[in-house]
Amino acid sequence: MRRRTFLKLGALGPAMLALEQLPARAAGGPAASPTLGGAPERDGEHLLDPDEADLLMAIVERMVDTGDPRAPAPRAIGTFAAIEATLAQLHPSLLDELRLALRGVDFWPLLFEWRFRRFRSLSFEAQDQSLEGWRTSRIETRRRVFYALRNLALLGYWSQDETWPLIGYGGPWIRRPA
Amino acid sequence: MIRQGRSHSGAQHESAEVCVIGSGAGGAVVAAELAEAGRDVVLLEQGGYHTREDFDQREDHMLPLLFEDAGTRTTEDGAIGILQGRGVGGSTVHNLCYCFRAPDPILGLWEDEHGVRELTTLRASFARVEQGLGVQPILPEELNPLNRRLQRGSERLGYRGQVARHNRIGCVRSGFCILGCAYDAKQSMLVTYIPRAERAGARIWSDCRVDRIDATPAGPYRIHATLLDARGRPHGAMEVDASVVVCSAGAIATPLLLEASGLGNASGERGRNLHLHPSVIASGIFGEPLHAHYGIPQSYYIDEFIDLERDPHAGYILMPIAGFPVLSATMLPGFGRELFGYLRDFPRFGGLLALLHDQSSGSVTRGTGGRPRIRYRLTPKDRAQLARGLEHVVEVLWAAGAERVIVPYAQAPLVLRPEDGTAEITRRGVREGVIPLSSTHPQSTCRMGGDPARSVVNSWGELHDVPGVFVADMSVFPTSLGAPPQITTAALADRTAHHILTRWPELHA
Repeated sequence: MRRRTFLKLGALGPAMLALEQLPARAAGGPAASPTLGGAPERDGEHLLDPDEADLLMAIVERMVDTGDPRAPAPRAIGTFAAIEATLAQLHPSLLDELRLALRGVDFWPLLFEWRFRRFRSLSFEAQDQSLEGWRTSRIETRRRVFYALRNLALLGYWSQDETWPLIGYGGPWIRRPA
Repeated sequence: MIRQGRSHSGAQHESAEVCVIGSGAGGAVVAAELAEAGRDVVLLEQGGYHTREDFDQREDHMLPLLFEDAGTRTTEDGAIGILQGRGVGGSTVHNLCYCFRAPDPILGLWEDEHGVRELTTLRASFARVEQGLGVQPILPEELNPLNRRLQRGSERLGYRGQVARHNRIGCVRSGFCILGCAYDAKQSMLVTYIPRAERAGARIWSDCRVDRIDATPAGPYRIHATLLDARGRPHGAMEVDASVVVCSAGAIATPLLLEASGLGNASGERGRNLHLHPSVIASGIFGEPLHAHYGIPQSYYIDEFIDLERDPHAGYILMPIAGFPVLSATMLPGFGRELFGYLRDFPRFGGLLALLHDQSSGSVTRGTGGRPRIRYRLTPKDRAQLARGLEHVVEVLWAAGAERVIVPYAQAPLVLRPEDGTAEITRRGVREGVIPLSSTHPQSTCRMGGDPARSVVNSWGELHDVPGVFVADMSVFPTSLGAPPQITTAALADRTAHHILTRWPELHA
């Protein structure tokens, strides 16, 4: 997503920055795990701050929800580490745009859906409805945000060995020569 | 030994007769041919140096390692995903090894409409690169279950198709080609021309991003580059002085480098005329497990819908496609439980894509922070062709035995059974933003031609306005190729290398 295009969403930037001080869980939404799935700290730094990482993982949890009790929780496996390894290869300006996108998803229900809560404070059902709004939006930029976040989530989750039995993928099947 | 920029810091300096920028299907060939002829060559590659020891067949490790922007690159409007390789060997490390020569009608078009001269010399180049890459026919018994079913399906419908040629030797049919070959069976540049260049004395630098070429009338050229650490952050500088420069960074990066250097735009065509071979994909769900991600991924193709003798400006090819969990999931619509509802049938998946010989065009310019700004718009005619292509994709998947076909329209996906027909696809059509499109073949942004007012490089890849600076990658195609480009890119690079050798006394002076 282009920064310029994102900002065209309606001068959300200042409003979001101001509203960011609101407690994310004021109304008792689904609690986030304190861990991020074993994300390693590489070179002594993370690309997202803890709140951004928590928000990203809240979105990931809905993007890869299976409804299958056998499915491992995204935060319990290497989902975030895989996502962060991908983010590490991106141009720095793309990371800035990702941060804006995360903020956009977080505040959209509060500002535009009459829910008066941020994304993480919503029930799972309401979170899904909010994401569906991004997916089917008539605003191209919102749809792009949705697919960017969706594909990051898919990469982070379905690349993990623990998820493969759910879909019958056996992983690398020929052992490499010694 | 390949020098890795991540292991060097500070200021480095090299002098050479030739500096090649980029190590994919074009740059590796130029570097090897020139070095073997005795020229002193330095090859600079922005990406890292990764070998079979690194290719662990995992998507979370390989996508960030082998692809530009970790595989997330798109056109500016987000409508078309663009997969491009990064690293020593370029896209030949992850490609699926289809080996096509440029079709004769396309070469005729390049001569007649673009004034490219002496393309007959390309025959010798085709022969050399095919030998160098070990090109051979795929044997019928090597088709995996998906390819075999698609062959039967297309035959049932009376459609023309072919078993392809490929550049694999000793293939173990693991199917992980797109994540790098852990067996060195794929004859990518990484295991063919790069070692040849190295043995002939070329100095090869990975993790070295070229920022600018300073061209002075008196020469030599000075190439300014940045050494990158393992995470792509600058941590050193490199300068190379050379008499001849060959840009082989691909159809996105080459015009950007020329733009940053203020070169090659006398015609105003630099970075324009971008073609993408845009593709639309549908996923079939078969009655029993195919495990289509194992075996040779693309060994068959259907060329019923492209007849370049009759019309060199239109047509599309149908090609099988299968992926691992992540790549498969990204081809499916929806999210959460809806998406999982499709993905749980993963072993029964088999995909097919329509790859368009596009007349639509776009441009590449420098955007935010130096990132490429890639603009591209489909013409109404090409949208209509892609829609027909999608209908044929669905039809062939059904004929191949698919019980259902998932058509990933973004707003409301279709799950079609044979009795449904394809009328809904006809109604919805294909256009940007409505259904995901993808590209692995950006091309034509520094097109070759005889007229300096309409093209960027001459018939041998040399910039019209800067003697001694050449382009040898897919940028030089005057039009869409209409076929997978690996062999044509390598052959044109071979031809450029031999032209440089012929003119060496003049160029070096």
